[in-house]
Amino acid sequence: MNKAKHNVPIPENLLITSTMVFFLIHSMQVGVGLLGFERYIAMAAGYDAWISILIAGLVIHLLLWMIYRILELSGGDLVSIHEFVFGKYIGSLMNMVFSLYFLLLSLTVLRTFIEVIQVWVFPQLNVWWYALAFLVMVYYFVEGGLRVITGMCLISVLLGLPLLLFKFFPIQLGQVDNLYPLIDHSLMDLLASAKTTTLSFLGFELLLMFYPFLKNQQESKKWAHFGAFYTTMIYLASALVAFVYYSEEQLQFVTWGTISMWKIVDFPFLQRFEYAGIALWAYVVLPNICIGLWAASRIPKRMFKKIKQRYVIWLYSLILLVASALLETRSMIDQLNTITSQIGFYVLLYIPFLFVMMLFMKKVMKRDEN
Amino acid sequence: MWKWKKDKGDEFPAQNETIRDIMKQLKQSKDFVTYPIDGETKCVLVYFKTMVEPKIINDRILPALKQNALHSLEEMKDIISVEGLTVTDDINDFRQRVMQGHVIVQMKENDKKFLTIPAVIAEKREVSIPEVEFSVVGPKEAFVESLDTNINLVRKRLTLPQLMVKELSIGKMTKTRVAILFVDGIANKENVNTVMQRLGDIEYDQINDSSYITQMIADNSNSPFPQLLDTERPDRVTGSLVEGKIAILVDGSPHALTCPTTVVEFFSASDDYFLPWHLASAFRVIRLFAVIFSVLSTPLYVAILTYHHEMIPQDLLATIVSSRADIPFPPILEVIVLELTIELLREAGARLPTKVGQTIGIVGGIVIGTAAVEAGLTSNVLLIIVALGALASFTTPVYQIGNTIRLVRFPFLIGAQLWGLVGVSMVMAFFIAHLIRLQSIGRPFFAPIYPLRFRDLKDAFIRLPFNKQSKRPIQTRPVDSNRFNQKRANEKRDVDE
Amino acid sequence: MKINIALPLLLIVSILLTGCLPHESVEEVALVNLAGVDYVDEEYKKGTVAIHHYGRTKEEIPSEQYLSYTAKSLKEIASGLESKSPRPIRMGKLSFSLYGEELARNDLSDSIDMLARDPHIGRDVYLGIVAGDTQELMEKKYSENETTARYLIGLMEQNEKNNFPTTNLHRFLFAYYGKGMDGFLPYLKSEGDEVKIAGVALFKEALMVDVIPFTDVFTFKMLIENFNQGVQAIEFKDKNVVMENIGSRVKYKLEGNNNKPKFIININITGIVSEISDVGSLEAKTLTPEFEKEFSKYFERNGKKMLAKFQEGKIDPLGLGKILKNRRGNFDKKVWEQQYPTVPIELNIKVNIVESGISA
Repeated sequence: MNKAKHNVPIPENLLITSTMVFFLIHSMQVGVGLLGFERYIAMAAGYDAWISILIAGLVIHLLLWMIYRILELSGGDLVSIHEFVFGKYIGSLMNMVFSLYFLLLSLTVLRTFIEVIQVWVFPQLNVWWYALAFLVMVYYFVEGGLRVITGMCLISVLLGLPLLLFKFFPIQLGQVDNLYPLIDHSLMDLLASAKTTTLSFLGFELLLMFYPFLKNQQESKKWAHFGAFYTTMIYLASALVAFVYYSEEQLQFVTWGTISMWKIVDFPFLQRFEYAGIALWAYVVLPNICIGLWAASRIPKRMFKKIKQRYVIWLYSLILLVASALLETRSMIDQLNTITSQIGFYVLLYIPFLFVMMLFMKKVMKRDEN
Repeated sequence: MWKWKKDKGDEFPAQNETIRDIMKQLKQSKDFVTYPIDGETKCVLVYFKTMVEPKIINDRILPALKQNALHSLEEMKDIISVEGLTVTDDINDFRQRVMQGHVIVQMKENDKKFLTIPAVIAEKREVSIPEVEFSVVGPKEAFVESLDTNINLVRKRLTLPQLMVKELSIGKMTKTRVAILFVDGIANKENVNTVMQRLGDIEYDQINDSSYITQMIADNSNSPFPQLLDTERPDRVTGSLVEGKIAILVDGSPHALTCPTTVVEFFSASDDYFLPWHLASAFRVIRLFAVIFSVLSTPLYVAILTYHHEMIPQDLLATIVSSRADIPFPPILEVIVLELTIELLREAGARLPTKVGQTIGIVGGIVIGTAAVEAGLTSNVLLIIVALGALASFTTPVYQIGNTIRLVRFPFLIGAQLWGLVGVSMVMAFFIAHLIRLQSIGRPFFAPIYPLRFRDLKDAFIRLPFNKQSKRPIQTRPVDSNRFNQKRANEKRDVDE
Repeated sequence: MKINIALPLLLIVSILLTGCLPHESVEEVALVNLAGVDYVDEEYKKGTVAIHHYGRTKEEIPSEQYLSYTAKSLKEIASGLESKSPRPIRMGKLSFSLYGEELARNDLSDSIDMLARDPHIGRDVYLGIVAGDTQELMEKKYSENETTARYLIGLMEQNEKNNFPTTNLHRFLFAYYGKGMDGFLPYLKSEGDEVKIAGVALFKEALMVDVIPFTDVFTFKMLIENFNQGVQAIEFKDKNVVMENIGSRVKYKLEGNNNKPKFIININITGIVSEISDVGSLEAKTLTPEFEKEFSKYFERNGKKMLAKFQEGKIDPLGLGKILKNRRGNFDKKVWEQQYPTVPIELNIKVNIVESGISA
């Protein structure tokens, strides 16, 4: 096993510039979570939860660094890393687990987004048809390859910027006194809250899959960290605005803080921005679902040379469609989110483990060579 | 892109003919003339009288033949003072030349060897002012139907030895001359090769206009978006050539094509370069807003009125509801009827003989619209929106994209009716995906937005002053990307110096 | 493109046929602008809605139709109202929700909860407590060319700019759910052909407990928020002096710890004395320091009275508990509630008069 073997050659015209990692990482991290994470993080740590966001952000940076080290040591992607570290059989098993995990990420985002539409806009929405239309669109993106998905990430970040401006309205009405700097919660509370933040921050581990597509991998590091930093800042800003606008106990009664805050947007020609906001949020969730599906479908293609990725996308889309139509009730979707969050948390724990294993295997190899 | 399957066997004019066969065929036409000369020189002239200039025959050919005693075609060639004479026995040449308006001289009828004398009627329209891409300031010349005139219009603006003109003949029957223009040393070789190859691969019986070429060599022929920019302004073509683009001119078409292009280029007018940069940028932004308004206004009307009336502020709601109070149709029907009416008027306007027709069409629209409102079939608020939307779609400087915009709003309407604003944003996402996937001659069509190219953004949504445009766009991948030395341009004088 | 044309086409057609949602165009629904809930007895409540009728032409004056229904719960009232209306009732444009005083004195939590939960209802809905019957107040005609809803909104918007503190659904929920603070709402009264804001209704949780009369509202607003409009008149040597506020800033300070907190409220108010009856202008200039003293005395006395009343009634519309919680941490609601009536509150008001009319 030498390094050259797990290099994944990608044709030159499919490579993406390193700057785009910023958008890939960022748009994958931001999803439906941003619409209602304030309540969950405030549950454990109250209004000190902004510290938890910073802690979580730091951890993400650390994990990102580890992922880059792992990738640099191997030069390939997740599939080749697994095969290198665990051998063919266990490695393949792990790969399949990850493929399903990425699919689960897509499913969670898709279903939660549909849930938001159901609650806020159309209670009578036919989930089958809407999910079908959405997935056809997702298919059209994913079929275009990573380059097209990256384009969508860029667009989604650009379209998301004006949405941030609407935070101005709640700030105007808010009570800054809520943020009086006082740490009233124990470290354990803060850490528990940081753990809840995980679901919101999930997504950067997809780097393990698209790394070989980067043109200048060294330079991309910087952009990946920028992306993660930007995400942290956006979460921080959103949380602070929500904390200013709602009273601490009131927030527990607000499931989707950000959407509720859009309600107060008021222009002479437009009120009640939440309807437009939710519609525009489709652009924010779209990259999530696309990258998730892309990564999930790429793993089988990488594992078995004969499988065409297109057919895997078909299959997975079908699974997404059926699963999102079968998840009917609010409590099921809540459960889905909890499960995904749990698994996501374990995946994050798995990264340091993989890192250590990688270092260990490299050492063993070196000794063998000598 | 269409994949043309080349099969040499089925060429339309059969290959194995003799001059006698051709002559027999040609003689069936009434305007074909066989003119034997029986003086000092004995020979036969054959030509189409509708294709040749009588002056050349009367003043140059006939006197030369009648006053001298000539015994061979070579002698004639020396004595006749017309440019471009050839003596040959190629049967294909015979067929082609006689059809193009040459006079063919043979020593006797059905002889194998012949002399061709170009005597084409220079029948062409005068160069006139651009009608589609009119601009108040700037040059007022537009391309005409003659390829040579068009190339001349470009060449006289770009007096460069590096300006290359390659020519192809496309169309099995029409044998249309197609010229490819580019500046050697700036234009990317790969782009040139792609264009040449795609043009060469075309196999179709007729090419009547450059728009045939646009559709045939487009990267995605199922897209509603034109992937080559067409223009009737020689100055715009020159500008594109200097940027490293490739221009395609087609004989018989007053429109040139330039490629590779991007979606934002369709919203830039040549006026943008004649006005100071701030004004030009402002107008360009207005044009973009106009396009967005034109596409989204009626879908948003349908979405908000059908599903999200909470979004309308109270005071505006009074206006809208009272205008809609007597309308028997739901918003979607109202909109579709009115949009179709506008499209109808536009289509009728385009078919009417003069440009006045268009004006009459619009006036007719106003009359019909007012009557429809008074009859209680549509609301006046919607009439304003639809009329503004139609007006806004006329602001596009390139006619072709205007057609696209006309059509594109209908999917948005369907989305709006289905799922309100959520549906509109879904359709929008579809179009974004489509635009990201589109390519123009292998170069991304959605640039400089994606791939994000800051350098090209200087002349995309806004146009920065010329002293900031020191580099040619990345989009064309120019061989030499420097327009001038930025450093010298930025030297600033100090106060009182 | 790999996707066959037929497939998306089939998809679009089938979505068109089946995916359509139930929908009504704006003119086909009954839009409610104003709603009111009254107390009937222990079990029953009466709900009234004002449905806006837009004019068919520009000239036609908009009118309102009033529907009311009595039932046990708000949900039943909603469906009951639906049975009386020719068009589906939509609450999305609700902009003012009224509650009878009797209901407010009993329990408002159900009604408030319903507003907070409905995703179609905005967060800047005005809430108001009506002295007497809401239906009566709603059905009166106050203006020739405006509906009651419009009229009441105008009334609130106008007053919020001046003497009345900002209130709406969100503000009320903020205090209602939050620990260590209590909400307040405008107290409306219908008198003859007019409706007026008679004061501030003070709440303890969802129970209305007290009313501040309108004459004291300026002082109350001063304690609550910064503002730069509004007027206050006082008696000065048997004459009427009116001060126009051009900038009032309030700052809360907290001293001591959780067990022995002490609040200091500092208010700086800048004003113009614009109306002095029977006082010469020259005199007025020299009187400025006296005015300042007199005004601050008035505000302090009034404010202290108000604070004492709050403490006595164990209500906390100023959110002192929240301040304690935010700044000292380790907040125990029970302990605070015991402390509150006796907690020391210091009130310092500095009045600064910069001008006294334009006629020098």
